[in-house]
Amino acid sequence: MQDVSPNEEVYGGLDDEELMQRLFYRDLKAFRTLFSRYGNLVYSTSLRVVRDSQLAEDMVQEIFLRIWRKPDSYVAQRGRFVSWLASVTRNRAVDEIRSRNRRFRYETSSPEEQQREFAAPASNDPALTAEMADQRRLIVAALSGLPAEQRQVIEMAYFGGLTQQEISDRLSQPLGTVKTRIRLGMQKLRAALTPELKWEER
Amino acid sequence: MMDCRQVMELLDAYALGATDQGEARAIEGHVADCVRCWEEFSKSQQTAALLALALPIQPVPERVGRRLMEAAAREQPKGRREPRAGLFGRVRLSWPALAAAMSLAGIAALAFATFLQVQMNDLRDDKTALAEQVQNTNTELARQLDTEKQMFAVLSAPDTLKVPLSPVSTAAPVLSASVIYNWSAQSRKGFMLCQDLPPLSGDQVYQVWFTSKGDAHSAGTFRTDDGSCQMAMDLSFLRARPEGLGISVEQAGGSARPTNDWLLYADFTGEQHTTP
Repeated sequence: MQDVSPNEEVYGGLDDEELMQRLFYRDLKAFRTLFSRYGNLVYSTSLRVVRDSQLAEDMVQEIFLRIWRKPDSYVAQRGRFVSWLASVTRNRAVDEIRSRNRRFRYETSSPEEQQREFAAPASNDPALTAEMADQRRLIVAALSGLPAEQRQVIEMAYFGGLTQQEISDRLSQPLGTVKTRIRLGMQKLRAALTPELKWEER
Repeated sequence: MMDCRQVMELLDAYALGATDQGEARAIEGHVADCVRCWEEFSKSQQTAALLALALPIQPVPERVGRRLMEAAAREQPKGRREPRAGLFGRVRLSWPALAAAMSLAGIAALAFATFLQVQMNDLRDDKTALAEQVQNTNTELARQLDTEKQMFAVLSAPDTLKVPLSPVSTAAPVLSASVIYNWSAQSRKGFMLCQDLPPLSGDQVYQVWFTSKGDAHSAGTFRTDDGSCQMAMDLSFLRARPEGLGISVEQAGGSARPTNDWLLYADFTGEQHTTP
């Protein structure tokens, strides 16, 4: 397995999209680098949705192997690799809980527990690039700035895999209220993340 | 059928995966043909995708990485695989006809992709190999459709600039090449069209770079069989307004930094450029 050891000297400087390009040439080092960058992210996301460490491990294996086999499933024009990877992971994990109809699908928790679902601003993944660490700080701050009831519905939808109607049933709130909370919450998140998209003026 | 207002109201819920199947299908159908909603759609998707980043990090157990790398190494084929040239590498459209052709081609591609999707569902389970082929075609079409939409978004922006790239290298084959970059600072999108680029050897690619504050940021690589290219670029990852765009020849797979001189370059900081 010597040939697959990470070689940060060569690959650390390449961005994700360039690493993905190299997968077309079956470059194991590029694959290894992608895993060392995002293995924790895929695992954390899977685990949050399925809430079963064995199942989450299997999903990490499956998701990365699929990337290795079919690197062209990522379309660079659609956006950054990490956004794509996060969506693929979330969708795959939600499919899993839906097909198993597991009991541990979102259990309603108190706002205090909700608060803990997302990271404390201090915690960080050493494998993340500086750019990603910046984005992470922004999104954590943006989420903690949301009213608890907006954060809750976003969480139930994205990580709990529930539809607006299902959320409305669980919370015993009118469907219209749930829809409004989702829209307002997402609008605020987007606005808070917009500085990231601004070009610094020279 | 949903109209733009109805779609816009559901885009955030869709991005969070919280719409039911009927709504999801209606939204997908609508944004496939509506550039304005498609732009909002992409933004919602990007925002939702960042949510995963906010989770506390759970380190993935070491055995997972070990197993994964072993499995990947076992699947390492003997020969080297060349990336397949996209449809865009093969289809060539003349510039003025392009805008007109785009919407039509988009509809045709979508109709075909939908047809293939139906076929694929029928094939699932017992004929997976065939289904995978169909899926590959679908991905290819989705890629083409995305490129077209991005080009359309650039063309319909109020601040579109059309910038020709000039040959830097004096090598004769480059002098006859024609490369034009269209971009909109407002929509943070651009696309590049080229004709008559010189052929490269098998282990080389063209790599496109944005320059900004003395640094070069890769915008991707491409190969071309007939000297033409159509490449869409999302500029939103750039921290600063780009100062120029260059093309260099790099080893297959691309480089982290340009390792050769510019073949062609456009400077954005100089004179006013024409708007189409």
